[in-house]
Amino acid sequence: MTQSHFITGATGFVGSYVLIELLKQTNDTIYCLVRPKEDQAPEARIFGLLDKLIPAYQENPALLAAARRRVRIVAGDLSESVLEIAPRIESPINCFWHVAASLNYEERFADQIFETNVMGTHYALRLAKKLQTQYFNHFSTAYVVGKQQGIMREEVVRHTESNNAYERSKVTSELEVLSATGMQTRIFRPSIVIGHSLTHEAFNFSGMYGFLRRLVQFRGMMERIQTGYLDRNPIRMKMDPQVPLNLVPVDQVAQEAVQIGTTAAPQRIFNLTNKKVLTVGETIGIMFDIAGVSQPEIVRDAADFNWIDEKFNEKMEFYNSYLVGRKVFDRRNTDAALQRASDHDQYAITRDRLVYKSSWYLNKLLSKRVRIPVSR
Amino acid sequence: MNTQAAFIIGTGRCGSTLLSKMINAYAGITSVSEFFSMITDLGTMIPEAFPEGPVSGAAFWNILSGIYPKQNTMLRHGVAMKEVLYTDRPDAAFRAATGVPALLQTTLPHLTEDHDALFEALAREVSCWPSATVAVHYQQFMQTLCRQFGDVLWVERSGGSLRIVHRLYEAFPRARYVHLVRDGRNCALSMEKHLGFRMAMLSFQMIEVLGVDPYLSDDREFVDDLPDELVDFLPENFNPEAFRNYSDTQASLFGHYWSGELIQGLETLQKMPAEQLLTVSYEDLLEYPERTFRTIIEFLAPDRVDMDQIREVCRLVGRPRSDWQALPKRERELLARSCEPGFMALEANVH
Repeated sequence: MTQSHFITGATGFVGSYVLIELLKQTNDTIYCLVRPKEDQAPEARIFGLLDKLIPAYQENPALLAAARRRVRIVAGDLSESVLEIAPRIESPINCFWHVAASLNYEERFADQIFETNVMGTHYALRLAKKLQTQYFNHFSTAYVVGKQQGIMREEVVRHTESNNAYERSKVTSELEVLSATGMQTRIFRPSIVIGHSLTHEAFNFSGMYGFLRRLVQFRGMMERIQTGYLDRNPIRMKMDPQVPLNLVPVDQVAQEAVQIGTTAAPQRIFNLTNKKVLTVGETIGIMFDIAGVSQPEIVRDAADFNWIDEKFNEKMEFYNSYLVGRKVFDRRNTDAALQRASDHDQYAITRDRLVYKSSWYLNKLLSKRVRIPVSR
Repeated sequence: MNTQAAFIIGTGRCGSTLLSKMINAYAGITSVSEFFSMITDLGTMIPEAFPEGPVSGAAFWNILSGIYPKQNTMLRHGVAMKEVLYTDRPDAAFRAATGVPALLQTTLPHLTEDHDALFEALAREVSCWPSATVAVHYQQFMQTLCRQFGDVLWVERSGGSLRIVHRLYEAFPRARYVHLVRDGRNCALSMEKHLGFRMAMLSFQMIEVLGVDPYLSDDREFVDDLPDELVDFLPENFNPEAFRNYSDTQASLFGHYWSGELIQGLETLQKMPAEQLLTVSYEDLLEYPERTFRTIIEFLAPDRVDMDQIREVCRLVGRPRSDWQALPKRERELLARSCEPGFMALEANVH
């Protein structure tokens, strides 16, 4: 029987792939809530994006026609009154996919992060209820666990020490989702989402890409201070080189989420994480190589930092929280709900794949930046 | 009549402002102050001030008379460097609120009180010059300025000009160069407090994060990457109070900068014939002003040595304000370490 879905954040990195997976895995009607932009109508935003992404991800081109048949655009914003939005959607909705989120983490964005991630979830739940939703599928992050170490189970996180405003917002919004009544709620917790497993395509450049970008920025700053400084003075970083760093391709996240989200899985929390990853030391080594920066010197204690090390580590503070402490993500709920082991070789993060993904991004970044020579 | 050309070069805060004032007070020499600092907008637009190929007189005048964003943002917000001499007098031709041309920020007011009239006269003359390389234009401009004051020698001095010494030497291959050297630890301490170097250091960081110079482009694609502490220094947000109080640097950062500038600058100085280069220590200028200044005048204008004048001019010498030895132990060590490569380069190259 044909069912219906509702997605928030369908123009985002993960949300757009969830939309593609829904087109692939179902024959259902899909409503997308899209904010109008000054220069682009909501329809153009979604269909223009799919026109670009489906070939870039090497998905079946027939999905483009399917999208035009099955996708219904709802122009609006979650903060609008449900009375404004709900009448434009045929209820009941079987699955509500709340993917929209702010990925900022800096304190200056704290209010905006709270508004988007916590209040946004609150508004989404309110709308989902109005639409008589059966399953509310909420996207969170595997890093809601904050500074905890060890095995990260697919369980409710109530008390934890978060690393930043982003993680705090996700803990709060998860608790609100889990306490919602009148529909079944599920939490999907992807780890650090990166580009497509095969084509490497990505269009959100936070996480791993943000680290690489900041490394390039730092190298440029130091070149302006003293040519060749970083070649003569390797940066010192505090990290645990042997612990795994969990990067997960966007297609794995969307494929697993949609497969689980469209079935009657009884579990409620799912770690959408990768089983085959590199260590922190291997990953950071590749990033430094690609950025053209001498390999960092690993130290156990920040007391060994000089002033430039301190500044570097301050700039990387957000990322540093992922580089210290062993976190192993348990996937028992996820694997049970999938009822089969995912093809983890396809999604495995190997050295070659990471080099390719990082180089792909660096080339893209450098092609966009105006080359401003060190002024001499 | 051909004029003679000379430059005082050095790292930032090496004491060249004092030397420039002394030269300005010495008869027969035109002291051209902060010319290259201002036309390169505090050293952030150096390639733009040295375009390749022939340049018309009008285009060259545009470089000299440009209203550049960084220096004017500082001026408008009341945080200009103390070297800026243009004042918002009621009869002034330009206003801080709307921008002051580079040439009028320091260079012309340093030479004459009637700087607005001189600016107008130069505009009329320079704009009509035929196309030539920028080097020819610069030579002609300095000569014009020098003749204006009836002098036969001009001496240009811009803070931190060691950074562009390779360009100066290319444009003025027969000029004389006085390399003023000061203990890097005190240079670094002084740069840390200096508003011009603060702006340059903030610009370096913003340019790398944004991928564009935010004072020249409104592209803000990467603005979310900007650390919280830099947001106040975007031109659209410029906060003079935050700028004045900015303290997210340390003298050792400028120590690294000092070392880097010396290492690179010395590469050019090594290529100069001995008769074109004089290296002078700022500490000697303070300790033995008459002897040191006489050496400088003998090098620049041997036929104009006048001991009475030298003694009079040396009254301008005061005491320096930066003293690295007063720093706490840890900072002192970091600063010393950051300056080590610079000291080593000096030792290897200056005899």
